[in-house]
Amino acid sequence: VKNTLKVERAKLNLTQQDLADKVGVSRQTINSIEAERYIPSTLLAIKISKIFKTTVNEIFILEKGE
Amino acid sequence: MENTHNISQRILLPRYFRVVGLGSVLIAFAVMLLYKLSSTELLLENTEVLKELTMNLIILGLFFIAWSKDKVEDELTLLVRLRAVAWAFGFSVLNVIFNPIVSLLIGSKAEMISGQQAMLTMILAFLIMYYIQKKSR
Repeated sequence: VKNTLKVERAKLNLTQQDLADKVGVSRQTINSIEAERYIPSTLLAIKISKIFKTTVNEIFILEKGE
Repeated sequence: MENTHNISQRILLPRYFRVVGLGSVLIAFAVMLLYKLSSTELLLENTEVLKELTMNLIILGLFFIAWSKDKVEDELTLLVRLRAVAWAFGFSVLNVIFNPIVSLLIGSKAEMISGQQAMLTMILAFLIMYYIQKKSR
């Protein structure tokens, strides 16, 4: 699963820590998601998409074959 | 359906247990050190009791450290904990099976490890795997 989290974050000028505080996780978790080492739960994905006022599908994109 | 935050809140000990655990381990080591350095001759039975008590205190202390909450508990921390438990469990099973074989090959007889030794190895394996994964996440 690819994601556009870094781009979306840059648009709102948010740091990883800012986003982490808003969704109630650690900065390391946001970093792991951005680096595509970790796929978040549905709940966290929805929380993140709400911050960026978009849909989950816009941020988290299934890659071919998944 | 319960979310990961609620699970962490329910199954883990409060953060101050980390300090309690560390204190327990330090007290156990201090007691062992004092006993070694002191010239007091205790009866053999008392020595065994002291060994049991300090070992149990160390196990309890390490358990408190391992099972207390982190500063931020989230779903990734829970996943890291789960992975560490899986590693520790696997390592302990292998330890129980292969330790007697190794002791037979090195020494003269196959010595089974005690419950305390197995538990101590399991908690130590958990702590090591937990901190390694936390650093590399």
